[in-house]
Amino acid sequence: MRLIETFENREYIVDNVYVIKREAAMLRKYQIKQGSLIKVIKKHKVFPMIIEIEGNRVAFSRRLAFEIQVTPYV
Amino acid sequence: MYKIAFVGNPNVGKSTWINYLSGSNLKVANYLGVSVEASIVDYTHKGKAIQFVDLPGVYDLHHVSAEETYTKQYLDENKIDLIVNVIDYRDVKRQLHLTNQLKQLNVKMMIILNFIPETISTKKIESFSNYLKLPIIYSGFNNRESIIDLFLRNKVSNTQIINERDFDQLHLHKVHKEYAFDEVLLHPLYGIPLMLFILISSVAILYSLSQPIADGLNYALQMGYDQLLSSVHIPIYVESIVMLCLTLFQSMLGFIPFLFFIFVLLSIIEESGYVARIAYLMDPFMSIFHLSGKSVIPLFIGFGCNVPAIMATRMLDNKKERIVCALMIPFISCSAKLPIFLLFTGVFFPEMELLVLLFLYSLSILVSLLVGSVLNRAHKEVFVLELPSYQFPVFRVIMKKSIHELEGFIKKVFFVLLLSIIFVFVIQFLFQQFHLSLLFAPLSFMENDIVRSSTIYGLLSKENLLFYYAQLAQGDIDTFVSTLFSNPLQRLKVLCYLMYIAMNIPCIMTLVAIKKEFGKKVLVTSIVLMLVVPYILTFIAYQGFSLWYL
Repeated sequence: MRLIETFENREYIVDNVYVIKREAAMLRKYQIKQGSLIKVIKKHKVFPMIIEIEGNRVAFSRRLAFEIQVTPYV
Repeated sequence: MYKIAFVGNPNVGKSTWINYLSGSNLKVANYLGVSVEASIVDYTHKGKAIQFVDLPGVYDLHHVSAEETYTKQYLDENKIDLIVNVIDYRDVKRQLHLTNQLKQLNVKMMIILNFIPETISTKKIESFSNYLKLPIIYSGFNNRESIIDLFLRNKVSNTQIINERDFDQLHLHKVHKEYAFDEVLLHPLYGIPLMLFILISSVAILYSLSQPIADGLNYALQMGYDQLLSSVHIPIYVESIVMLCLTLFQSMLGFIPFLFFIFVLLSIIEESGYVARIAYLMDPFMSIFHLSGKSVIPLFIGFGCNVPAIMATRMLDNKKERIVCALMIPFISCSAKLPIFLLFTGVFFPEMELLVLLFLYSLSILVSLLVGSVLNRAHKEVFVLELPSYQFPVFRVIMKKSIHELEGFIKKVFFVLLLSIIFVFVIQFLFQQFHLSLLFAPLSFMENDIVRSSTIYGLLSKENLLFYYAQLAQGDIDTFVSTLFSNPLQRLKVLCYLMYIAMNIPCIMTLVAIKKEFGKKVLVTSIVLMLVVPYILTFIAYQGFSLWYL
């Protein structure tokens, strides 16, 4: 599923990131890459999405959340 | 000269360590991208000259952002004797990637471990040091002298790559970051109203606090002067110089308490980690103007001073967005414009001073956003921003930063003061000889040459615009200013004049910063914008309102 379709306070594993090279590099800075475990903190129709990754909180545009493929972490 | 470069992720405390070791006053704050270029601090330790270099925070050296390109270039092009890699203990794993890249540079290297918990044992730190194969220094470790000794003695340069996967086997004590306030401060419904409430009410409170202090200081100065006159016989020519100095001091004392409190407020917001939250909250709003929420941070810094704000645009990843943001910043009213606002609002709008101030600031924000929106019609850059953990602002740090900012402001004022005294006469001469006042003929709210020439004089620096009036007043500045605008529509004329000042070129230093960062083309665009936009807007405002009123 896409990151935009996820639920708050649940954990997911990043499957794939379908963005241009430069944006991928920006996300990689924050360790958002294939295989990363993330927790969705805040999801809203207007505001950027907030996720937690390795104890750090990162906010990013909803457009990027469309481009990130994840699977629920059980 | 022994050159020590401090490298690390953003917001890990590099500048704080340099300040601690050298007693310098580099700017520190709790958000990403505070240092945007190398800050160099010279220090002498036991007769040996040392240079501490504070490099912008980076996640890696792969040239993605402007900071990364800058840091990589700096490390490649300069002879560095020692690299100090500052690491935030709360988030070690992510930073190992950069440590590996730094090791490849084959320069002597040390690690500073920041934010370590009190409960951690020295054994754990030793095991971490063995894992990195580099010596580690951590907070609370000996005193500054012995740390610098360790820097000078260190001979370790190790190019061996660390296996990031082995890190988990160290079982380092985990420290959780503080994010509890996000539930309230980033709430989708009341997050923005709360932000506006916090900012506006703090300004109102600070304003009401500063007023009695300014009055008290002025009263004390006047009393001291009267005492001096009655006890010592002063020749008449000395008295007029003392009188001019007194007027200058009085005009400065009137706004210094408010300015100090504004610096305190900015420091508290920066230290607490709220700046990144403001960027988050403002992202949907900024999207209307085709800008990312991140551009709020340079604009916010612009309220203090436009020069560091121009430099802070480096935190934006897209070059076009950087340029647009740099063109927007000069429209934000910096702290140097505040004294002149306070003077005129105090004289012409005594019963609604704060309201007029809020109007002027809101106008400058609105014009800045509109300029941005017109210039940046393209698709906006994606927003990606790390939210730093909250931290309680330390009183000592806040005071130190605010006093340092105020000190810099006053120093700058006095430095330009002498130059500006000559400049006043040159401007007046030019106005008389070349009929420069004709340029301002359409702006009929500027009725006399004193007001018109003030706009040219203000290009030097807005801090000294107040001295311009004080110098010409040669006595009570308030009475002098009250004669500059006549009735009818006196208040409208003053308001249009203040609007012009709010949007006009802030100072020469801002232009220098734009030229340095973006080159001549952007500089010319910026000058044209800053001259044309206030000219047209105030012309329309004055003519429109006067037609409607009459």
